[in-house]
Amino acid sequence: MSSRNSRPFGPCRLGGFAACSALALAAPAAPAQPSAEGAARLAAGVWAYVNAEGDVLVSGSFTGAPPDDALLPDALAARQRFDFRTDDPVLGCGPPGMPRALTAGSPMTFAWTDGLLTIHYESMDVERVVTMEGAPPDASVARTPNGYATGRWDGSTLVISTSRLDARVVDLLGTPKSDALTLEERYTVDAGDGETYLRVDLVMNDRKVFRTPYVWHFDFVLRPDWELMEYDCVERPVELTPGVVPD
Amino acid sequence: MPLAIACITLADVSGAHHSISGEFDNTRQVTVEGKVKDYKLINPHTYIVVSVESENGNEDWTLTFGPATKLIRGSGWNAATLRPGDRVTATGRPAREGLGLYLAELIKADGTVLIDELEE
Repeated sequence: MSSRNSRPFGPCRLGGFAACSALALAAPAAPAQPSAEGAARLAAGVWAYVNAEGDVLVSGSFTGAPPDDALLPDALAARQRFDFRTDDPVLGCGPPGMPRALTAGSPMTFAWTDGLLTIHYESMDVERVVTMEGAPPDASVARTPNGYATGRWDGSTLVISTSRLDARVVDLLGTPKSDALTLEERYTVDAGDGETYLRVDLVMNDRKVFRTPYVWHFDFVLRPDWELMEYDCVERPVELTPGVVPD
Repeated sequence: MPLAIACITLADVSGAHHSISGEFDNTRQVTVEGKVKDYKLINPHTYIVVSVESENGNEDWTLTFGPATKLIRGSGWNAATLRPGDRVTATGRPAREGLGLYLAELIKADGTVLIDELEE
């Protein structure tokens, strides 16, 4: 199901909360400029998630969740109340939204057309549009599962800022997200061990949920010979759910 | 108690997928043998219904696994991988309610290993 892969990036990864926060937030800002080379590298094929053990996963997976001590008390209480059987929209094939579409570790692709970037996540057939030449949205922009995303280049790193997200959960455990949530993602392509890797640094700013901005890191590896499959989510058949009696 | 069942205890792995830890007992592992009745290679979970002989006749067990995308891309599964009547041996974590397993291993009667994710 998976293959072993060495990972070129450092120790800053899921769970390394304090250290990762300091590293990511200290990243220097460079002049924004288009990067045709960077765009082409991202569009080179399917990116497959590499887990903490170095395994390349062939499909989306549960990649973890922020630890309890990263959450404010009310957010932690909300997560503890979360019952996936009734509260998780994804169980009924609803959209996972951001950042869950990313943090699910799904195979994904990047495509550019006319100033727009489309990121396609295989799991749940998510298509996410990023405006590469747009200004941040104002309060009149509707909230949606994926929010409103704008992209820019910081040297060869793609930076995506997202806001205007609707109420949903961040992960499978029901970590909440509020209307204050904004995301910053940094995508950096690097080579090592004969492979091409993509490091994703995700910062979740949500003063109503997290004690400090929460930082998540993900590694992906390029699989140019893969194609994304259609997911075609099927809501769980009740007759196949052990112990569940239909209403 | 069905005849074709074996059970062992496991260390809890509660960090797993929420629906696994919520619906399935992470502390036990159960093995059943039976004949395939139904098979749905779908996302986000694949299902196989197996008829297991028991002291009281046949019982239907629902075997659950991960997404079809994982089985198709990772192991080459397709719609013909399992057929009604195929005899299989399945091992996994038992459902907390009802007759079901979250699969860790699935082997056909001819020895073909279809799923091999047993934890050591």
